[in-house]
Amino acid sequence: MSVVTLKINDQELATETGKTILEAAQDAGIRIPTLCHLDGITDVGACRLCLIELKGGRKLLPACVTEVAEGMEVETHTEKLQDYRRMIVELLFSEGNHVCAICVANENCELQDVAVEVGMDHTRFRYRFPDRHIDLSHPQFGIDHNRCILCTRCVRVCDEIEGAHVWDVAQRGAAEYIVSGLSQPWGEVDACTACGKCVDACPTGSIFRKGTTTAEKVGDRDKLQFLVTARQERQWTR
Amino acid sequence: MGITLREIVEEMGGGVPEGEVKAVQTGGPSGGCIPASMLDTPVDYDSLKTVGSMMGSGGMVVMDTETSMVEVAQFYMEFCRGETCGKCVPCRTGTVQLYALLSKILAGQATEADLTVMEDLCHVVCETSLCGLGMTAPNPVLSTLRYFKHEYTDLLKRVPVSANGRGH
Amino acid sequence: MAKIRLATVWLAGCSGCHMSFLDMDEWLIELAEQVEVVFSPVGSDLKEYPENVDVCLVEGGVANEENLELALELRDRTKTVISFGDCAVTANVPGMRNMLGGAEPVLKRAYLELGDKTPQLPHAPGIVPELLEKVQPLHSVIPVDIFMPGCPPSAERIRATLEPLLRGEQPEMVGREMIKFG
Repeated sequence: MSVVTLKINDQELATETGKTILEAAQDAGIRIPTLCHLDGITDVGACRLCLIELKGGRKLLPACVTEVAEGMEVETHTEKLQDYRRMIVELLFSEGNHVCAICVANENCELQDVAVEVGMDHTRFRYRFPDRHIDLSHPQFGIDHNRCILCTRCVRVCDEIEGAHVWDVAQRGAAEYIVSGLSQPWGEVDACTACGKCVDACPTGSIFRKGTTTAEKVGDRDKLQFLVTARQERQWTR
Repeated sequence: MGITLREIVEEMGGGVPEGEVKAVQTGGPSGGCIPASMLDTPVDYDSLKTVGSMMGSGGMVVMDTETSMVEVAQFYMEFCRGETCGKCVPCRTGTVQLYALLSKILAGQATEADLTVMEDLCHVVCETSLCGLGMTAPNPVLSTLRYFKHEYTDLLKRVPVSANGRGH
Repeated sequence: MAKIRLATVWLAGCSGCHMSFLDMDEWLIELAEQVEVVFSPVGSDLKEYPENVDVCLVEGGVANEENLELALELRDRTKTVISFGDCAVTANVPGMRNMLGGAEPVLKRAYLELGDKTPQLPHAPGIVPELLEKVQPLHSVIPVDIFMPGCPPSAERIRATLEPLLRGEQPEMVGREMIKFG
């Protein structure tokens, strides 16, 4: 292991080569907001919340996919970054139909948390109120596309950890949605093992266990990281 | 490479049939609109970038004085809104909201506040998008705002100011 | 010093925010000493929104013509307008009808398809206000000064928003206690 030294928000840090800026920051107790990142699965850099400023760099960089380098000077919470993050969260809220009051994930929602974190008390954009559907064909679970932020965690967790690849992304742009199987109702997808990892991975109340009602969904995000560690390092307890 | 826009538009192209040139849009949908006053700009990578446009595809759209620049911006944003792949948030939703804001302005329903939000959103989409599509999608809006801002402000809703100094 | 003129307004909401307002319990007595309640569904019986209001809490989204009229009127006559609760801030539950695509399909669904006896569309011009095509958050129709999310905002949150205003200061709407939705 070779050591890399860098500065995050003027704090001197030593970390390992190959780590991402996000990991280095987390190790040092510096929180950078994220939505599409989930410990244990591949990063895609799609939500853009973890963007950071690099001294001498021309562009903002996503901390989740940028590796540390010797002598880096990183700023994670400049006024500009905070403003941009808030606007991105506003965009997310105006894109779907996020009605916290009646959502299974109320109180346990990463979108809701990130809104508080970036200080979003209202969105300046016009709500789209899109007409999206709900699939309740699976015997144990449901997916409500109204609450989906297209972070693709479910897609990645199902593919990379469960190895079933039930989920994928259909269409594009404003019409984009998460699709099951070969565009079949979830309940008809033979590949689904009903493991429930997508339920735990979902940051909002989009994928849920049937029978959970308002504010009852608590995603067990650590379980996914545990499974990865268990397989890689043969540690079977937590 | 290096000859001026004026040479291309007026000499080689013969200018506009009736009236005058108002602006030249270069580089395709992600490029910017260059006003007639800057027709002496040489067509090369750096010069076009300096004036807020780009070489891009090399395409040029010449517009006469009848053209509404806000409509032009909306036209290109409609294209980008359809082209965005949807992977990253700012490009997927930002282009949709920019199109909505431009439409609101054209409908005469927008306020000064909407214009400010639209400008801020342009910067967010440019600077935070994952790939080149989002990074350049707001260019038609930014360049028309830069050279033809009055066309936007002329379309804003006239806000009656009430006794407490606030309008609605 | 003249008392602060306080109003509360109830647009398209369930009145839960007003119930939460009443949950401020004994502090309401203190509040009543510092303000004059000039218009409120839970504090006065006036039908006309008065002039020169200092602070107005607006519950609910803007769903019909009456809501819109009152919103415009109160903006004109109020110094500080507060979007009071999720319906005012986001359109929230009333806004869920927007997904059906407009006023007509909503009315048809509610009054014709689900009407058990004598199904008919409500029509009483001048008495029953017409629905707007879409339910909108308050700040879509008028400028809003302070946003207080929550469904409903807790009594503590309402008090923490009002207290600085009574002192002539701006409340700081940050952190989970003040701005969490839902």
